[in-house]
Formats: sequence, structure tokens, C-alpha cells
Amino acid sequence: MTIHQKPHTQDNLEDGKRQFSVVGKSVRRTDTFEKVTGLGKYSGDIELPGLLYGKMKRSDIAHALIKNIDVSKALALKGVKAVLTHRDVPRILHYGSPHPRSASCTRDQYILDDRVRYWGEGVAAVAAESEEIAEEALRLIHVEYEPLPAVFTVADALKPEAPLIHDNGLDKNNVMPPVVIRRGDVEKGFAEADLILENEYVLGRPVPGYMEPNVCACQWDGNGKLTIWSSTQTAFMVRGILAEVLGVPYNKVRVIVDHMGGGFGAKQDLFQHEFLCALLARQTGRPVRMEFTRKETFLGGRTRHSGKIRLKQGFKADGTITARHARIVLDGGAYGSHSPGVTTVGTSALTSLYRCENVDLEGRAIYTNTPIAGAFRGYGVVQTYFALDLQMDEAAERLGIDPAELRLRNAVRTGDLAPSDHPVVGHGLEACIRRGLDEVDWKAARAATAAQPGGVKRRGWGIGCEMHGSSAYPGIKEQGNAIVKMNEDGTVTLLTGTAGLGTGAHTALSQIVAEEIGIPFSAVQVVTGDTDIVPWDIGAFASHTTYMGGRAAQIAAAEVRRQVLEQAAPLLEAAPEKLAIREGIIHVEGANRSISLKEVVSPKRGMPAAQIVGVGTYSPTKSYSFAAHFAEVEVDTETGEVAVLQVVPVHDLGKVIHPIAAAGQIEGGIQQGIGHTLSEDYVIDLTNGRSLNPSFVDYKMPLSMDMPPIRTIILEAAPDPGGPFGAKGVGEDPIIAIGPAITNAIYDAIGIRFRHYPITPEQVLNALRAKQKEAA
Amino acid sequence: MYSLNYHRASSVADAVKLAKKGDDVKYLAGGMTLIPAMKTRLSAPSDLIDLGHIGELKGIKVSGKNVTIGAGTTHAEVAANEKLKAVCPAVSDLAAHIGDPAVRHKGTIGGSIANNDPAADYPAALLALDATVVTNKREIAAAKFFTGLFETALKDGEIVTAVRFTAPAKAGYEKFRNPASRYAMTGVFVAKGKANGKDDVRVAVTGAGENGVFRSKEIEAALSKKFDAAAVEGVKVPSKNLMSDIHASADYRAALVVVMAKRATAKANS
Amino acid sequence: MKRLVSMTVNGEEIELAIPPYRTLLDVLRNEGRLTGTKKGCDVGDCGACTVIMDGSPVNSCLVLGIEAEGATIETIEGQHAGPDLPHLIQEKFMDHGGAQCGFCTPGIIMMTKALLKENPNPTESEVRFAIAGNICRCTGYAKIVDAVLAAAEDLRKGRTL
Repeated sequence: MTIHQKPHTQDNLEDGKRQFSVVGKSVRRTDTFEKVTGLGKYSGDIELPGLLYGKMKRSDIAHALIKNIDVSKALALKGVKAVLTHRDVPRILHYGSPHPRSASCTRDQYILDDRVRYWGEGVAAVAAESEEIAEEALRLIHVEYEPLPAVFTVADALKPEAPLIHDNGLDKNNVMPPVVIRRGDVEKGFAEADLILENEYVLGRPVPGYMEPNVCACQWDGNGKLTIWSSTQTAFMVRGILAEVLGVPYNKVRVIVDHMGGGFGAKQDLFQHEFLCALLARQTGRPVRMEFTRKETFLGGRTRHSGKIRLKQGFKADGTITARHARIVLDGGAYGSHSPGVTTVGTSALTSLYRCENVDLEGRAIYTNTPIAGAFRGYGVVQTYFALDLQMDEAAERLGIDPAELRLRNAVRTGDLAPSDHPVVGHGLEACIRRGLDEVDWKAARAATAAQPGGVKRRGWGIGCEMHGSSAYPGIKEQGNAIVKMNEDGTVTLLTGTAGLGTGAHTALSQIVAEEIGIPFSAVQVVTGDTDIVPWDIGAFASHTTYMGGRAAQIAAAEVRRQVLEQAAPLLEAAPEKLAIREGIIHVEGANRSISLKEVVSPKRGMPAAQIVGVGTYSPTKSYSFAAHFAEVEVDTETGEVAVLQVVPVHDLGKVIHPIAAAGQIEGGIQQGIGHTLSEDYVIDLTNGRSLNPSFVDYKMPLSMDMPPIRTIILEAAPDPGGPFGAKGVGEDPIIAIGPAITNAIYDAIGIRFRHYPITPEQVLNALRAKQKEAA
Repeated sequence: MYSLNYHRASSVADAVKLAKKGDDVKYLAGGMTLIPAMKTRLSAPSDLIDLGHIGELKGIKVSGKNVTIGAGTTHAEVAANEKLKAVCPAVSDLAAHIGDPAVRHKGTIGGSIANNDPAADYPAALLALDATVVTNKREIAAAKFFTGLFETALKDGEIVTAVRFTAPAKAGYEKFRNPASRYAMTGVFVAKGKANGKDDVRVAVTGAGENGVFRSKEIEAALSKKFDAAAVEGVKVPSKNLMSDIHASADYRAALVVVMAKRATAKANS
Repeated sequence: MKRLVSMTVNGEEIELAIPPYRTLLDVLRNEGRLTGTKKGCDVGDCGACTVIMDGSPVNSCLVLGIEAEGATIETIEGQHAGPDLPHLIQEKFMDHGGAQCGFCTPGIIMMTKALLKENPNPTESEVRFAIAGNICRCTGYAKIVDAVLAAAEDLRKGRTL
């Protein structure tokens, strides 16, 4: 009954003539009524009788040994039920991010250590009868620190005299051995170049800013089984690592994720509070909930990797790229988390997007005593393609070639080796660029900005491109699973382990199942988010949910369809291959005979219905989605403020399953991209490692009035044989190309090249003044 | 917020009487600043006296050019008042752009000025309008009322009851919003009124001063010559005593003062 | 320590024993068992906790529960008429993709209701201005604005809030 991965043939692709009945339509999402009515239960909404409230004491020093923790006053406070410090919890070194056994993570964390490595690291936890009492108890815990020398920048962390933050056998605070990629002959490439550009790009430290602060609730039953409701993208990973660290078998940990208020990658990590909540619940014998404050989501959350990229490329006069040399240094913060994965993916991305045979790339991630950098939408590629696409713009100008034309000449195309070492399928990037050029009437738009007279407000158009893989392969060999059960009334239940972090993925999977079987969307119910019930899942990340989980669901649905047709065949007196299911009715192709699916599967006199179940398992390699973003900006030359006036994102998704949900991903990604390009930066005090803006007042995210109209265009230019009906991922993509598009548009508007993000109004104004001075 | 006594005052006199009872008493107006401050323990009063139900603190009176705004009037009420809009639209416009709708419906003018956040909008208006702050005990000129960051001339137990000003011939307010908070990173209120029968131009700056709201002599001098946006062009505002923080340097704020003054003046003349 | 407070929530008069320092948000979520109103920041910066109090939108994290004594409160739970019977605004948020993770959605819907009551015919920029204090991190706001404008359009066709 289990069908394993189908070989990669073209038969999963549609010939373009097929009429879809559910796929490609923006059906009402399965989870949306609960979301709009407030009835949906997020992990912080679970009502548990006898609930205690957990809180974490966080360090107010960036690097120190804990000499002593006095919890006696906290314990004496009425209503306090338990206090835990490093002396009370298992001391097991574990991975910060629960992708163990994979190349992408590193094992360097304890639940609580006798040493803190960043400002805001948890040092103790309490459980009390109310949140207010728990907070009061935190104030009564006295921690005595012995300060250690600390480093807050990569440059300082690399100095010979720098303190080692982790003793991992590598020198100079390297999180991991450098990622080195060499192809061809770079020296020869530079020798052949007519133009060589070399620049340094400096990257800020944005945070994901999901709306639901991290939260979990834990309850142990009488048999020693833990149930944890947690806002996590990786329920099965949480189960595994919790079980191992707590010393219980996997089947005694049940992780439940119902609704989830966003994650954007960062909620792949296992956080201190998840262990501590479980331990507090075990110690008190009562359920405990631990919920981050907004400030804690900054202090104890995960950031994108800040860093520097030195990029050097050679170009021929016709725009051909002859060589690419890059040195990437990322700030990993105090723990490894996703640094290895982010560094690998970001570095290897530079082998592609724009063709180049001679590459010499080296990426490193460095420990510092700053908040942990983890997974965040775009996963290293935001950083490296920012550098690449800015330099492309500069090269185009120097070569006298239109910037879009230069990209077209170099665009990756079918058969080229992708960063994952797989051949690229289709000309998706070229299709995106061309469609966007038409849509914005690029030549006319650029001519208009070039011709604009002087004035306070100046407009510019820019382009940025990207490609991003669906799935984390080859970093992780992933697997998607689904179970599809046919019920006796002809309805279907889909079981999937993938987390619903807000993308609408469960709806897309349900659509795929309905389409594959041939039943209406309303006939599919999806069951998610309970590790005791749903099939194993690696988690929702890497743009792979629809691509991989969707393909698994399609395989499972196909198996159900096969079994149904097998049962229908004798009733219709036709071979199964001659049968088709449409809208729940089984037809004999070419004949006027049909029967309802319900009739086939329902119990009959003396014959209870047989269970029809399909199990789909799918291990993908990788596919790439492509995009070109076109942005128009207006620079206020008196204040330096940059307003994004409009964005036209063109994305190739192979096949779109749910257009509104896909567009929603694109538009939301653009919002975050506008943020990190123009305003968002999580600022650390470089004298002591303290966070300076851990709040929504001081951390500046674009809001309703900052967001421009977005004309989203989705292409099905390069369907992927690995995805369901050719579909590819979209989650990571949209945050990547918008930054270069805006930055290049700023250049078009005011003739100033910025090589960093965020580009703040003050910096723009200063640059304008410097330019004026230079001219004068 | 671990232990607290809450009292709902029925009148200003009642509030003053209640305030004499507790150890550490705070008046609660809209609560927009006080409640978050209590959550973070920046403020830990033993007693809260809710001024939100005192009828005499509410409402706007406009008589000719004379405007009186009750301290308990919300920003939304100030923004929507047609009589005020007719005589001094700059204040209506300022109120309409404070924070967001939730803040405007709960936050009050009295609470805002008593708190005197250096990035709040009202202090700039009051200073530029040469307004009078009326309390249960006395009347205080705006120039004497705002004494520093989060500091005012209010004494313990004293309650702001109203704000009074004469609508000027022309006024305008423009702010450079901090994108996240919507607070003014620099806001400038310009007003052209009369003093002793002569034209009197007053320009007040919020969000920029190290000691809170202040008047810009440089801009006032320029606009006194000619009340026109072009007159502000090229004026140099010193960055000394301006704030430098993660959002902007003092130099940048100095530049913004000029630009916002220019735009506020254009608004005043439109 | 606890005080008895009565208020009308979604049309029903309720009496709750609450500590005086507890915010309306926490009171609704804990004592009121109405968890549809969300806590995104707890200090008035994100709008996820927006409810309508005596006809006006407020951040329920910036109001003490005890301040709501005698008040009329509308929360997200009181908007739909029953299973499969969404409120007009909810229907538009569903159809236009206005909710992704959904955490900001209850607050934005309540703010939208307050807006449309005051201004049933808003322009796009008026919509954006009205929800300026409601942070959504998923949608880029495009589909939220679409949903609000669609609800307004239906109001003009005679549907009611």
C-alpha cells in the first residue's frame, strides 16, 4: 500500500491542456474560519485545569560564568511552585536547532549552563500560580556573575586574543569549518575580463518578527507521558530532542501544534523554554505554560545573520561573467543554531543565478556574544544575492548595458548546474525577467526616471532577481509523508505532519488530494499537528511544504484512487484504466456509464465497507523557483526618506496550487524585504552586548502605510517534475530579490550606490550631501 | 503590577481627595504610557485614581478664537471637533495623526502633556500656541509647564484640568514619523499669532530636543521676516542639545527641524 | 485582593472576579475565557489585542480590566452569527486571503469594524491609515486592504455590519 517515491519522469507534469477542477483555484482555506472568528486555538490559548505560569530569568550580562544563583527568596514567595537553575536540569549537550544528524546544525547548547554567552540568555525558570507572581519571583532571583571578556563583532571575535565562546575544536570562534566551493579557474577568468569589480557589502541584523511570541504548554499524565503544545515549525524534531534530553522514549512525548502565529524559519529551533516548561511541569505535577513577552522574542529569539561579503567579479565587454570570487563572513551569535546551514546555502547560491564557470567562494560563520542568529526566510541567500545583484547593476552601468539586459544575458537556464549540484529545469528566470520588463514597460520607465527634472522628490526603478530551492536537499535528505483515508461516505481524510505556520499549506495539500482523486475540495478534511496521529514530518521550512508534502499527499491520493477504481471496475464492468473520477462520480471513459464514488465505498447489506488508505512517502532532491522583482522608489532628497511606490514581483512557481495563498506569500515576503532593506535592524550595544531595540516601537517594521501596492504575477514557466502537478515552493523566495530591486532603484533615482542594508533616511541624506559637496 | 488599589474618581475634587490616601498614588488618564510603564515596573504605584469618568474634564469649548480643551478629551475627540477645525485646523490635524486609532480613542490631551514624552506631538502645539495649562490649583504657561524629559511643573497631587489657547491666524504641524512607533522623530509646530498687537511667530520642536520640547529661535527669526516656506530654506539649526539615539543623530534631527518647519509653514499657508 | 467587575461582553452581561492590576486583555483571555483576542506585544505597539469598548477601538492591553466596569465590550468571538455564518468583514477576510497566520486578524477585524462604522466608504489610503497600528507580518497588507474595501463595497450594496 505504501508507494515510495516515483522516479523523476515527466509523467507528473501536465501537458498544459488538463482542466483542473480544484488545483489552481483560490478555494476558501481550511483554517480560515477559525482564524477570522478567533475560535482557532493557538498554543497559548489552550485551557488546562490547574495551569501554572512559567517565566524565565534572563542574563543581564553578555559573557560570564555563573558563580552563584540564590533562589531562596523566589521560592519563599507565596504562589511560587518551582524554580530551576542549571543545577536542577539535565546537563546534556544538544543541537540548538533540531535537525540533528544533518550537516546543517551544530551541537553546542545546554538547557541551562553555568555560563552565559549572550545578553538575555536564560539562567533560571520559575513556575507560579499567576503570571504576575512568576514575574515577581524572577526579580527575587539573585545571580552572581563572574564576567568573562566578550566580543560583539566578528572582527573582534577573530582577533588572536579573543575569548573562545565555545570549545568546539575549531580556532578563532569558527562555528564550523569554512564552506569552500571552487569550480573552474578563477585566475584565468579574471585575466580574461574586460572589467573587474570588487566591493564589500555589509548586512544588517533583521529579525523575523512573527506576531505570535514563542509559547508552549506542557502537561505530564499519570503514565509519565508528556504532552506539549508548542508554536513550532518542527513538531517531530521537538519531540525527538525533548525525548532524548528528558530521557524518555519518543512515544511518551506528544507534540501538538494547532494554529500557529508565524515563524518565518526561526521557530525551527528548539528554545530553552520548551525544555524548561516540560521540566517545571514534571516537577510540579501540574500543567505549565511559558510564553515569551515581545521583548523576549527579541532577546531569546533568532535573527538573520548579519555579516560582510567581499565580492569580486570579472566581466567581458559583452557582459559575460568570467570569474566570481567571494568571501562571506556571517555573525552566528552566541550559539550555532542554523549557522552551518545558512552559510552553506548562502555560499553555494553564489555559484548560480547568473552563470559563471569560474568560481572561488568561501563562507564562514563566527561565534560572537550577541543574540543567536538562526533560520530566517531567505536562509543565507538574502545576504549573498544582495551582494551579487547590486554588483550586477554596477557592472551593467560600467559596461553600458541595460541592467535587465545584462541579467538576461547571464540568467541561469535549463541544464545549468544549480547550487545543489542538480541541473536546473527550465528557463524560469528568463521568463520572469521578460514578463516583468513588459509589465512595467521597463525601457520607458527607466527613460522617464533618467529624464526627470531636478526636484525634492526623485524617482527610480530597479530590478532584482533570485532563485531558491524548494527543500533543503542536499543539506538534509528530507522526506514528506501523507496518509489519505477514504471514508465510507466518499469523503476523505488527509493526515499530514506539516505545520501550519500560516501559509495555507494544509489547504494546498487538501486541494492536491481532491484533484488527484477527483472529488470536490469540500470532501477533504485535513488532520494536522499532532505527533501521535499524523505521519512523521521533518517540519515546515525551506519552501518545501507544497512541493514535498504536497507530492507525498498526491502519491497517497493516487493510491486511494487506484483502490477505489479497482473496486469500481467490476461494478461498472470496465477495466480500471478506463475509469475516471470527476466531482466524486466515477465515469467509464467513452461510455455512458457512471457510479458515484460514495456508492462504491459505502457499506452494503452484509458487507461493511473495507478501509481504503493510501500512504505517500516522498524524498525529493531539489527544484528551484525563480523570481524577478521590479520596484519603483521615490527618494525625498530633503529628508533622505525612501518610499517604495510600487513593486511588481514576477515569480515562476511551476504550477500554482492556490493563487491567493501563493500571492500572499510573495506580498508578505516583500514586506519583510522592504523592512530589512530600509528600516529593520536589531541593534546591539557594542560595549556590552545589550539589545537596544527589543520592541515593536524601536524595531522598525513596515506597516500598512509603508507598504506599496504590489502587482503580483505568478508564472508557470518551468514546472518541476518532482513537485505535485509541477508545483515548486514560494515561501523563501520573495524576500530575496526585493532588496536589490529597491537598492538599485535608489541608485536610479539619486545616483548613489549603497552597499549595505538597512539603508536609513539619515544615511541617504548624508550621502546626498556628500555628493553635493563633491560636485561643488 | 503585583498589588494595586484602584479608585474611580467622580470629580476632580474627589480625585484630589483620593490622592491623599495612598503611599504612591498615580492618576490614570488614558493609560497609554502609565499602563505599559507599570508592566515593566518603571512605575509601581500603590494606588491608581482613574480620571476617565470625570465629566468636567471632558469636552471642547470654542468661543471666537478662544479654545478650551478639557484634559480628559481624547485625541479622537479633538480631531473630530468641527468648531476647533474651523478656528485651528492644525491642532485637529495634529490630533488626527497621533499614534493609531486605538491610541486616539483612549489617550487624552491631559495625559499626554502631563506625561511629556519628548516625542509626543501636543507639547509642540502648546508651546507654539503659547497655550495655558489649567490645573485644579493654577494656570501655567506652556513655556513654564514643560520642564524636561517626562517632567512638568505639576506638583504632587495636581491635576491638569484643561488646556487653553487663542487660535492663531495661521498654524501648521509636520512631523517625520519614526516608522515603527509613529512617534515624531522630529515634529515642528509653527504658529503665526499676535502678541501685544504685533505679529508673533512661534515655532516649537518636539521629538528632537535632549530636554524635550523647545522653541527654535533660528526658525522663528526666519519666519518672522517672512512667514513663508521659502524663508526657512537654508536656515541652520544647531545640533547642540538635540537627541542622538539609535534612530537618528543630533545632526540629522537638526536637518529635519528645518525641513519639517518648511513643510509645516507650507501647510499653515495652504 | 480580587474585585468584582461587571461588563457587557458581546451582548452578555458578565461579572468577573479580577485582580485590579490585570489588563482587560488578560481578563478577557483568562477570566473571560475568550482567547480570540491576541497578545502580540502587551504594550500597545501591535494592535493584536484590539477590541471595541463603548463603541471605540482600544488596545485591550492598555486598559485595566477594572476600568471596563460598566463598559460594553465587543470582541472577535461576538462577530459571527454561528458555525459557517461569518460576519461580513470576516467573510471578506476569508475570501480575499486577508488572514495568513491569523494572529493579527482578530485585532484587524475589530479595527476594521470600528472604521467602517465611522466611515462606510473609505478610500484605500484611509483603510491603510486606520489599520496603521495593527501589525501584520505575513500579508504585506495587500490582501487585508482588499478585504476591507470589499466589505465596504458590500455595505454600500445594503449589507450591514
